[in-house]
Amino acid sequence: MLVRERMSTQPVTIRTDTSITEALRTMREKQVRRLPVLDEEGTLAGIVSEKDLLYASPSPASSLSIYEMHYMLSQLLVTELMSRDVITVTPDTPLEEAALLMVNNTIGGLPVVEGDKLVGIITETDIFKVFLELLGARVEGLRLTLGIPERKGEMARITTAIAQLGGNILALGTFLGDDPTNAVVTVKVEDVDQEALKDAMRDLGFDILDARKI
Amino acid sequence: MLIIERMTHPVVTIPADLTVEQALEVMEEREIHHLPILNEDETLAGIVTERDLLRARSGEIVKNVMPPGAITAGEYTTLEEAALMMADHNISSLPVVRSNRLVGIITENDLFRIFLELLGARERGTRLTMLVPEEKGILASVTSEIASMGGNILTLGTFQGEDPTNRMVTVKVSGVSQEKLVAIMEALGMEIVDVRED
Repeated sequence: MLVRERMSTQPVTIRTDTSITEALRTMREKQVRRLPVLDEEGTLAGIVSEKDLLYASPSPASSLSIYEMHYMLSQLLVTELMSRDVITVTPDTPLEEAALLMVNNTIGGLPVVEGDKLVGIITETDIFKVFLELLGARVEGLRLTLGIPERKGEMARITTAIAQLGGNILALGTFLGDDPTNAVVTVKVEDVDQEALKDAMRDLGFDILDARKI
Repeated sequence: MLIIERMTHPVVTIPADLTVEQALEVMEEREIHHLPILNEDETLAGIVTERDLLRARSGEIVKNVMPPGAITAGEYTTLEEAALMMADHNISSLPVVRSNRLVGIITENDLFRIFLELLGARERGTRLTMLVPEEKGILASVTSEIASMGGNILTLGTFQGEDPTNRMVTVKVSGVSQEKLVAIMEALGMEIVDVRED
């Protein structure tokens, strides 16, 4: 899974001469929480988030009247507040690398660039949808969570046993276990009897941590 | 994977009569972006996000800016159900309750970390993405081939394919060369979408 497969193309952007008021209005109208900022040549100059803009609004303790406050914000340009050292990815970046960049830098979205050109944006929400796909959250089936030893060939044994029972694997995900010697596997299966599946997994020596129909 | 395995507890909470500024201060101090609000009898009144507070008028009491009808989850809810609730309601956290008592909180960020685990973002290996036909037993043949080559599967994830006849599989493997892995998968008839050392 690469960024190109799940990014939004044609992202909403603003120009460096956009005022804060206008930027906030665009965010609300388009229901986005961050806007890439482009310069006159159309290259990426920075990015602003809704939080950056909201935090920049005058403190309630200031002596400005509401009118003065609105005037001030309409005069202030996004270039004053935007982040200039933008963390970007390319369409070929793996999705998990994009997710890691977001987590490590506590940011909610990354502009996707090809050379100087902005070609898309990938956000937390996009990653979230992929997460739902990965765990088959939107399909119905029998969901089993197994504790397995961290050993070569275990995944083959699980999937082969399911295939032998005539089951179809809808989703499969691997997680870290309690310690490096074990792992946790969540698998969603259809066309197989719950008890038969549990028995088969027990016969293979796996711990059944949870089983439910969803 | 259930919420109880990954939720944060105990939870930082605030009483309903704090002002917006006081609540923002708590968030800054504790480095959090969601604050459940408790009633006097310790039951959950609601939850506010940093964004709710930033959009509110100054001096306002948090109770008045808190969105009505907080969506909550139980401890034994699956993580993907939690993710689904967040996605469908466009919210970034879920208070976890047991008979009206707040017992934890799970946020988008917690789920994000799980996503990284799922795809092995922090492990090293050969990362292969391929399109596989949507048919029974296909994952068994993929994983059996990898095992017979002596490869160790670090992570494996399945995604929607280009259409209902196929699906995309991303697998991270150690103990086998990239060339060999690609050759074997191609021999099985899989379409390689991407391969890299990660």
